[in-house]
Amino acid sequence: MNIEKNAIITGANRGLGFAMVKKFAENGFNVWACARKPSDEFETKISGLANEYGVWIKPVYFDLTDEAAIKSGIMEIYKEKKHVHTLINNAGIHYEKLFQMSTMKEIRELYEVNVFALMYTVQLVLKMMTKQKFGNIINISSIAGLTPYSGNVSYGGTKAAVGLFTGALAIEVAPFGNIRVNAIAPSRAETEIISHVSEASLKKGIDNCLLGRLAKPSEIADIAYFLSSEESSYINGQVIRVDGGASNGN
Amino acid sequence: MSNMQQYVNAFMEAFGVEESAVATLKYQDVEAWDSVGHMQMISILEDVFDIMMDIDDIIDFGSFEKGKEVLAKYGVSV
Repeated sequence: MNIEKNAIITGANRGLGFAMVKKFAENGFNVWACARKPSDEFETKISGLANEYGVWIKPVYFDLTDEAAIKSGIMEIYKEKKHVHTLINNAGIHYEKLFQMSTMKEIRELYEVNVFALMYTVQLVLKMMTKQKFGNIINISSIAGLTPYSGNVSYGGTKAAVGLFTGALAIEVAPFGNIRVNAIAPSRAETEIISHVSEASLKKGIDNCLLGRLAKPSEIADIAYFLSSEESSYINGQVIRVDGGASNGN
Repeated sequence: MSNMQQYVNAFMEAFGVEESAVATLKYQDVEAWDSVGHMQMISILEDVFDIMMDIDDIIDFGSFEKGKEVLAKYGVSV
């Protein structure tokens, strides 16, 4: 039986998220493309992809700092009564700052978006996946959550939390069917997020990378698609490092 | 089918119990009503009544009787 393949992708309006929307659409997935704010530019872009690849891509808007808005957005999807093959928790916020220079407000905001909103989204989407007894949850972590360095106490902490959450959740949802939970820990990619990174830090990241460059968003999207596909059917509860060999260079 | 019958059926399906045993059932009264069985029962009810329960209510849903109060919060009268 061919089951229609549908994915929910958060942070879908740009960077890694948009690259994932494109990759999944190219491969026949319909997508609920989630973003914070309505935008004509975003809707034009996803409509173009949908036409090009013969799938539907629907915008769903919610602010990850607002629990009621998250629920309302996911309810919109839930009420369509369609299968959710894949959830990609890509949305997140980033900054590098010395811990002693970070306000608790900033730290709370990082955890609110990168950890708590992600967890809540998963709780809601799991209601659909446990019913259908299959699904893939892919969390976007970061190498910052695997390797400590100065300036990443707060952001790295959130991404480390996502990594541990991924492994533990895979264990908890196993009794409910073929639901796999994995994470990707990319190094920096050529996205807008690097505009928040100091030049020195960016240079260090590139120097440490065996490939001597940043990741292309499509290279991260390829891994997300792989983790969503049957080709990765025996990978579960893992954090996959995608860093161009940076970990080997140190 | 009445809401009550659908409610009873959800318990029977989730926990494999007879209809006559449902009315007095509480969390962990039977082996099947463990945490996994609980989530399966919630999933059936959400599907049947087209609702999405909050986590606090899922935790609070400790018995067949208590469940009626919880469902009422979502406009489902059983």
